[in-house]
Amino acid sequence: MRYWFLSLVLVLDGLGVIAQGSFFGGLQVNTNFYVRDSAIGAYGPHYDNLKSSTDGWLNLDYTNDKYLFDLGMRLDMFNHSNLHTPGVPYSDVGIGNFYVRKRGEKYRVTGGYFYDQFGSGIVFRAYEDRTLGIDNAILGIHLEAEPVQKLKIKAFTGVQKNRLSLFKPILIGLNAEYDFSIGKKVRFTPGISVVNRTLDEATMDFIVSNIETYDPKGRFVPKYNVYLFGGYNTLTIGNFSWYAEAAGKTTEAIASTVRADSLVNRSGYILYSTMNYAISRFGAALQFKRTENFPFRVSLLRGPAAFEGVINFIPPVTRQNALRLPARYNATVQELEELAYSGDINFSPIAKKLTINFSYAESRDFENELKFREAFGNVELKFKKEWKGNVGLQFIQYDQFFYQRDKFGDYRLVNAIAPFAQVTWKVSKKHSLAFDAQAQFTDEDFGSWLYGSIEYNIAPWFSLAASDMYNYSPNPESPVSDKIHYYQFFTSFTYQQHVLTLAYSRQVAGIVCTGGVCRYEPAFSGVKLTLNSTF
Amino acid sequence: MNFHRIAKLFSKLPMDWNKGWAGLSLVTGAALFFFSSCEEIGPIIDLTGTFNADTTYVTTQVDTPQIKNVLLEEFTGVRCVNCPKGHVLIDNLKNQYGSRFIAVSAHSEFQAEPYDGDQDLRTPQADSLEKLLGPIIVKPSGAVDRKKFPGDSLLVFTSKWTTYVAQQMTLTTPVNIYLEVNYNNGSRMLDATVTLHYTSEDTLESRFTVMLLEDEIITAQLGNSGIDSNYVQKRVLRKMLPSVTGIPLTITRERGRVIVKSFNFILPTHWNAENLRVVAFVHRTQGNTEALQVVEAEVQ
Repeated sequence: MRYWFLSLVLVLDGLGVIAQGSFFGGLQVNTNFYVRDSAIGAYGPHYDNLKSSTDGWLNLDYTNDKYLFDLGMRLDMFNHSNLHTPGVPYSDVGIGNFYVRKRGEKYRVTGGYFYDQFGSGIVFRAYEDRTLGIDNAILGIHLEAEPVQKLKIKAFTGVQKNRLSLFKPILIGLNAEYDFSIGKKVRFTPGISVVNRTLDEATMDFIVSNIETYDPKGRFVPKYNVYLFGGYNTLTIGNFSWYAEAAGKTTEAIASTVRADSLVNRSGYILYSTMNYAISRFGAALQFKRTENFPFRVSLLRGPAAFEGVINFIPPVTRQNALRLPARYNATVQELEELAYSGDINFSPIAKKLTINFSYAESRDFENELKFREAFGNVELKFKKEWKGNVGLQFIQYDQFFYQRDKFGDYRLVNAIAPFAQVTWKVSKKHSLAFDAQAQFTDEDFGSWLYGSIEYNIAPWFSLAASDMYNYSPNPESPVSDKIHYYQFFTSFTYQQHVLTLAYSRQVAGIVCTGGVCRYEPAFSGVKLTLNSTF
Repeated sequence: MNFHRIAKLFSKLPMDWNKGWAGLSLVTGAALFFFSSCEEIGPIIDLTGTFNADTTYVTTQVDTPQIKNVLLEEFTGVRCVNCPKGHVLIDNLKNQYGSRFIAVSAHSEFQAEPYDGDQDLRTPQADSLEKLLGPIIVKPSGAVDRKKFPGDSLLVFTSKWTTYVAQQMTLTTPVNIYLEVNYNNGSRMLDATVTLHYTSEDTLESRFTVMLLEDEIITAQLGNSGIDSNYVQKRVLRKMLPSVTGIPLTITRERGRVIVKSFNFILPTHWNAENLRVVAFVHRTQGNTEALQVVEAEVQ
């Protein structure tokens, strides 16, 4: 197929069409150099003998507005990569993405790899997140059309990408979304989605082999096909908006809660809703989600990484923390059972100078057992033009064994309190200094921490930072029971559309999340070099 | 409300609103049609887990007990650098014990991804077998008579194979297994009839399993001196009948009990019937998973 694509490019070039459009692209290269540090658990094949790893993506895209079509291709390279399954080296290189797209006034059709989502992504989402090694692109045909004004219809069929190969199960999807108003203030955006996945013979053989190992009462006839159906609507009335989505999933073999390798025959559903209200100096948001038996994967023969082969995206309702210590504990989105809700309010007593935020979130199972709770508050201050501040406090309760399948002592919940303070001083128009001080007090997990960083910036081209995360009161039952410093030195250079970063880092093991999708990352020790360019 | 009034009501709506809802309804209808095709014919699966013999009876003419044979289920892979050493060891054991030693090479996922152009020797059943007998720590490793020897896991490294095989050779078996195989070249239908004949009473829970193995498959194989692109793979596990865990023998097995069970299977076209063998064995299930007896027969 890739050769057909190359042939098409050559033919278009021969006809002189290529010269009538424009090229653009991007390069991203991440290289790690590993320095063995058994004191923090940084060891394994990368540290023992491979010593370095590189992940690289180079894409070149072409757009032609005269003939209304686009082409694109991307080279993916993984050399001893530590990206997809940390600790397990992976090497391969090849064409990771290519597409041909034809555009019209009311339609857009793509052949090749594509990314898309229906609604919030609960029924279908194909996306890429390079920080977590996720690339769930679909290879197939994708159609978007607007046959009637404000009625958007999307349809696709294809197979999901599996690193540099393909999963075999076939996917088909259909989505329609309509937008209309009643009067000037009330607006509705309803939509419906349906997605079907058909298993391949190898996957079915695997499922049958598993089921036939069970006691007769646990056996069932698995389905080749699963269907997901979702309906959603956004209602906007002035400053108030309400998004509600309900999705169902027909019966299929899924991994049970009892044993990860034990399959059960279950249907599932999700209810998800968010409400937002915003006026000048005040905003509030509420979120709710109930999930039951809703894993949606290409195949039970997926790759070793937990989120390889995932077809949908279940949105998180808990906060996504960016600060170093408050971000240590995250509620990984649960596919089998979760009842979660959250609320946020923010208000500004003094416009542009003082903002107060408060949020609260909980996640429980269906026995009403608490799995995650976070209360978070902070005050953002701005005084004069030169000074900005941010002080706050986070309280966390986190069922470590539930989320990480590991814990270090006789406790169920990690109870942690994390105060923090940040100050940014704009020394001059281009020069600024930022200070960050954080602490986290807990007797569980790895114990208590202190964190401090200082960052110097010369806008827009240079940044230099040093930080230390100090495990000053370690939990003696944790694998790292010594008082250890996890320091980092970081610098970045920016020249036009090119950013080069270099960091020496000692990084503690923990859960890393992006948008509610989380994974465990082992400790890291060494140098990280990255290059990001667009052209 | 009749259709005329509904049509009149809709005609008063703005044109775009009307068409939009019509479009959304059309797509909803298509989605419902999608669902209406949900019914499907599922895979063949044994839901009962109970044993239905083709024939079973108790005879007073009890056969002389067979000499016990020994089974080695090895986990291997074409990208496993040390696996050829394991294969050599198996060949040596075969030379030493002849037909009393039966080995199976299961190419489960780890280190078994095929090289370009080669056929894929991996099977989902090999993965399931690895789960059943594992966890696997390193390849090559294998289970000798599915016995958990003191101080070891069920899967043991090559350094233990010779000793444990020799130990198992000294045991006796309560069950004789007779295997009759017929193959139709035209239809590629394989019929295997397994007869179990109990020469002494057996009261513990046990099952029996049938495997299809193929020899003489040429693939690339990683070894200590690099990749050998003309490596001869032997005793490759192709299929387990009817399933990985085998059939539970849920009827009484007094002395003289005879159980006959037949299996049939259409061979995929890329399997060479001339190089295929059928292996049948009886084994325990709960806790002690030890194989009681194993026999093999060639397809052609």
